[in-house]
Amino acid sequence: MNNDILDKIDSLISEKKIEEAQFNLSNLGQEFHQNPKYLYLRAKVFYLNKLYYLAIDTLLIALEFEKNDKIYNLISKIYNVLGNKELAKKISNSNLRFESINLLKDELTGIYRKSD
Amino acid sequence: MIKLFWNTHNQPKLSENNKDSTNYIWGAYHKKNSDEWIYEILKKVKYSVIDNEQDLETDDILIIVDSSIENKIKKYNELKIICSKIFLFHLGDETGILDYSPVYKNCDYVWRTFCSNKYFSNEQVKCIPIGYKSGISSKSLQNRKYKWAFIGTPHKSSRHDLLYHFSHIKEFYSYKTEKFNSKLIPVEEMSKILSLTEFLPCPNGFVHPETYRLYEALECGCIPIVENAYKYYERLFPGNPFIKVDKWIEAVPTIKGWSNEQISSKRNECVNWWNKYKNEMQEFIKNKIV
Repeated sequence: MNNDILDKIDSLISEKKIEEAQFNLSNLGQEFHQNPKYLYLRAKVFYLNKLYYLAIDTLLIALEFEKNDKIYNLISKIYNVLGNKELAKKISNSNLRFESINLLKDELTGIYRKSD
Repeated sequence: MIKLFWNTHNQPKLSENNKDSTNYIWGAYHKKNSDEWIYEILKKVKYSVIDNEQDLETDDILIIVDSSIENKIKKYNELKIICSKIFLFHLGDETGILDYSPVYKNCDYVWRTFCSNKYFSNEQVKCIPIGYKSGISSKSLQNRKYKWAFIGTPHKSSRHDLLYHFSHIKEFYSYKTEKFNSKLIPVEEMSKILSLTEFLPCPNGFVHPETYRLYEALECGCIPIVENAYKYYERLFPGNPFIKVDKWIEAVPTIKGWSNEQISSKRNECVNWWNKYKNEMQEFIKNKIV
């Protein structure tokens, strides 16, 4: 059921119906807040609305729940847009991305990290 | 008679079951750090300050400065019986998620910090800036030796990106704190640093876009650079002169490349705008209360 809703929102984003996608996302409750697909879609909408930092913060949280290429690739793409090519390149490299993200998270405070 | 009662630091007593001291800490924080700002915006109103509600008399007009009001509904019901009018300055409340109508309905008008969608166009509630920290003032120093400055906690990705892009623009002043309100620079020192700074990036706060930094920049004659997320500042201050960015790299050519004339012109624009804004707000408040 959860995935059906998220698939529908994903399709809306692909069809560039961003406002509709955002409306649907904002109607989803707390049970989605630790769902990596939900977090990824939220971040994608943030990114498309030029809310780059909110997008990155959300993707960094999503990675706490699932290490997923799609998430790494979107972070890399956003850092390219932000002009941090060096970090974008490291995160796009599957051999370096895990360590690069961990280093980034160590430098930031205020991003949720699982304690395990 | 118009009386002002500062009530942020008076919080309901903690019980055995409720030992959360957060509201006490924040209430005392507002009293210490926001009093100069609130007294400045009230400076066109004549009132006497009272230290407790026992000094209220029937039909007094009450200006009350308060926080964590969700725990004080009973008190506002009682004040409504005594006072002819109540004007509330509601401080704090970054999240804006609680329903304050049980308190707001007892007030003739409410000014509150940290605006959100439901308060941008509200007939009974007007948003005010959170203002500057008490003690911050321009030092009128001659040469601004710092191109930019960062003082705060480098939390989340925005501040990290800001420091990444700006750190090679010399000269700058950077002081990072580990957490909010921890190991702070004294306000006198802070005033000097800001008075020596040309551009002041004002990244969004941890929960809400607004931070003290914007208003400290304006008080000290720095040119504020704000994040344009949700066009918050355009909605709060239509036509404001701040530099707005979607990403910090956009501000680099301005900080590096603007001539002294461009900087001076923008600084004057910001200072004049801020003084005019404050004057209009003082008038508005006076006309509501008096």
